[in-house]
Amino acid sequence: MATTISTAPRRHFSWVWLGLTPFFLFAILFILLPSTSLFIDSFRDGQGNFTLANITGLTQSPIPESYWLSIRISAVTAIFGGILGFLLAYSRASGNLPRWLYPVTLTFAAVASNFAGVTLAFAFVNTLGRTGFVTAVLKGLGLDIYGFGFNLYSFLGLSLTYMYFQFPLMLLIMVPAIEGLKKEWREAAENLGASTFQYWLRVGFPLLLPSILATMLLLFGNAFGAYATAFALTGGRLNLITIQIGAQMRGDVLHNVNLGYAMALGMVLIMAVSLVGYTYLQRISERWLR
Amino acid sequence: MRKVAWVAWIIYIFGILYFVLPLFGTFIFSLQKSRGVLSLSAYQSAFADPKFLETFLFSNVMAVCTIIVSLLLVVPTAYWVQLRVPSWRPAVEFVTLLPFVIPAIVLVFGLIKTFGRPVTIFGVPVFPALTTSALSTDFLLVMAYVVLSLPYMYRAVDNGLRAMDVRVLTEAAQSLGAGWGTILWRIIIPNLRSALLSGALLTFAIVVGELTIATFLARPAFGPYLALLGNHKAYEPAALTIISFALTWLAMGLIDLVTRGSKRGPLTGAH
Amino acid sequence: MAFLELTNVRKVFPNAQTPAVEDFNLNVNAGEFVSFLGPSGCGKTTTLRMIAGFETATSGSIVMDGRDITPIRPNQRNIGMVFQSYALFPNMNVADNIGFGLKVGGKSKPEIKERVGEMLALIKLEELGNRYPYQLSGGQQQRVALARAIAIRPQLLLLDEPLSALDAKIRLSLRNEIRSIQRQLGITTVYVTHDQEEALSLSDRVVVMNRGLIEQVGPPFEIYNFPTTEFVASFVGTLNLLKVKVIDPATGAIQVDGQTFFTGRPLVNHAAGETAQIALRPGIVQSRQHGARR
Repeated sequence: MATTISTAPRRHFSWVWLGLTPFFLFAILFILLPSTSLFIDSFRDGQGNFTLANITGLTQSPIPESYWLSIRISAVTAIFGGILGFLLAYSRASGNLPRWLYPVTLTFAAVASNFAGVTLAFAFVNTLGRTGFVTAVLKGLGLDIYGFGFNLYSFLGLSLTYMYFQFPLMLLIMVPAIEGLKKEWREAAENLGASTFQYWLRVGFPLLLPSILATMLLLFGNAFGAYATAFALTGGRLNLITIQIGAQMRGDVLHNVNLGYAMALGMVLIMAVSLVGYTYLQRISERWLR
Repeated sequence: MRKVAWVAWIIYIFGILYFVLPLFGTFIFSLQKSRGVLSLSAYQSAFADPKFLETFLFSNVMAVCTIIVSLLLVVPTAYWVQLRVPSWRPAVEFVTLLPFVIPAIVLVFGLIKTFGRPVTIFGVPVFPALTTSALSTDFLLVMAYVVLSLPYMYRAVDNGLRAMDVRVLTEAAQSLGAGWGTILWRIIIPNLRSALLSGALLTFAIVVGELTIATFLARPAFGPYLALLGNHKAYEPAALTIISFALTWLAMGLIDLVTRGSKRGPLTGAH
Repeated sequence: MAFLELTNVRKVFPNAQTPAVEDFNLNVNAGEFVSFLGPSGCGKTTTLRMIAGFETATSGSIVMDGRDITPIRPNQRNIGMVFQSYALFPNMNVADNIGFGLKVGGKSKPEIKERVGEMLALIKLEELGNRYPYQLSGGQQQRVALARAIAIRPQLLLLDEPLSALDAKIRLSLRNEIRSIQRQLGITTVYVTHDQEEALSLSDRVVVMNRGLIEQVGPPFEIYNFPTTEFVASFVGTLNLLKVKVIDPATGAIQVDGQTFFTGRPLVNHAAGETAQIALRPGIVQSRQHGARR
């Protein structure tokens, strides 16, 4: 790495950006090139001619359903994971818990938000699967959840599984946000006659809201792009858009690779929209909480 | 105040149960391989499979390679942005955010499409196909993992650099006669140690169990092995789940340890 | 009876070696402007926060308008406070910030609007009601914070180093503005500062504090010209300390380097022939031609 730096001229300031060449070269090769080639080939047929057939093909069943399922499951887990994560961060900030719990909570959250993929799927099979631990305990208590129609390999089951990494991620981001609220704001509100509830209603919560919504968008993207957990848990049983794309790549269905590119493009667009929203909200939050 | 305390406790207990129950359920399950008694035989049997060692080792090697490439790429860039070209910061930060927009499954799709055949510019071949040999596919795998870890690594390093006064340290070193290599190696990196270590451990946590990219590049990694094992065995996958959970915990615990007292970095990876 | 009475107030923070405030006794009259002056860590802000209710006194009593306010929660005290860091709510515009206290107090919308208008006129920011705090300069923000504190018609106004985050020029003009608003409204005010010039120019009375204790209480003229302790003498203004010999305490005659001077008032607590210390303000030293008599 030292060579990169030392080849950059010291005095000719117009050339100092050369120090960034390796980084941008990497970005072009392994981020930009793959994504633009997907983009371009979304508008081509198998012979390389321009076509909109792949884009219009996105409206054909089961593709819209797949997008819709992915969006729903991402939204549901982002909202509920967001609420649970925020409530946990808020409870932590309320200061009524034993002292040792404070650092432990954050380590827990860091571990859980990274504990996704195949292992997470296995853990939930062993917990809420047909012979899972919690299923058995509840059955012992007279509550047969499978008898009520619960199924781990369903929308609800996958949502519960995703929640396992969603709420800790929210917690992890909200803790510093809540700690970023200045003590003086609370005191000023109190001094002006506000109760604790009024402070949270009119000052604390509104100040956190952009950051809460931004983080929920992050959770949305987190679930929307997830493939490994869903694949390991349900195989192909839930038609998420990521599962569909995986099937296209494997050549399992349709065998129209260009349609697969268009599906991937659609995903990138949805992710981009949520990232733009995230950046916008984050900017408001930074302006307020600076 | 009492009421608030109660509600806080109930929420906390719910959160803890959500976290603990799946692990506890898996742990109990992993001990039940021998009928009637609790034993560690699922662990013995899982470790005895030569495939386990092979794939686990492979994933660890990939993780180490990813960390090295990622550090070589990110540290000089972040340092250079901080010191000399702050006007490029938005552009660099934009690039580091791109992996959030491109899910792993899309990334691997694009990589296979781009590097599955020789790369040509105006018909002139500049790159051979990378998916033809095991070694070149591994190279592609590592590059994909570097992309996945880029946002976390960059933020960890950037936070670390912001925590010290890079410009003053650099100028002080220059005025004492140090060259660029010496400055980076002897001044900047030692001061970045905890940031680098947490970025590295986080990358490790992301890479070792990764499934999506390894599957579609058809490499013998731990993630795909585990998924396959889940299809025809019951107790061994549970045992390996516990093991990888323990490893994640270890990585996060170490990050906690090295960053104690300093501002917390981003402690999470992509799924 | 004084409007605000602090009696034997003492504050010890948990795990602290020494008390933050001790033996604090002070009566503030209605309409009076009193400053707490001292170096950082002297206990002035802690005392102010005890009056506001953000800290609880370890012992002693704080009586306002004949009523012991020690057990009353800060949001029930009807005391306005201005913070060093302004503490404006960033999610609200200027008008909403000023009207916050009235809103949570359940006042009607037209009533709030009218009062906010009055306040904006008072701080001469009529045009900026729709701006957000981050769009204002530091001086403007602090004026809004002042208006917000006054809007609830508090019985007492507390200011915690309100000018120390501002640059020198604005500090001076805002200082005069604070004083004129205070005079106009006749509101009892306690002002905390580490800047002796501020304290001396604004206050009716100054309380000089050091290490949790009151060193001296008095009008600015007295504090400046007749400090009772060496700390007050050295903290307030610049001065020269000289060893002198007391000649006649009754007339205030002292001797420096063989020359006799008169201090202008009798020297209590000193006996003739005793060695004492005088503090000499550089501003009053005039040089005259040799031979001219003083």
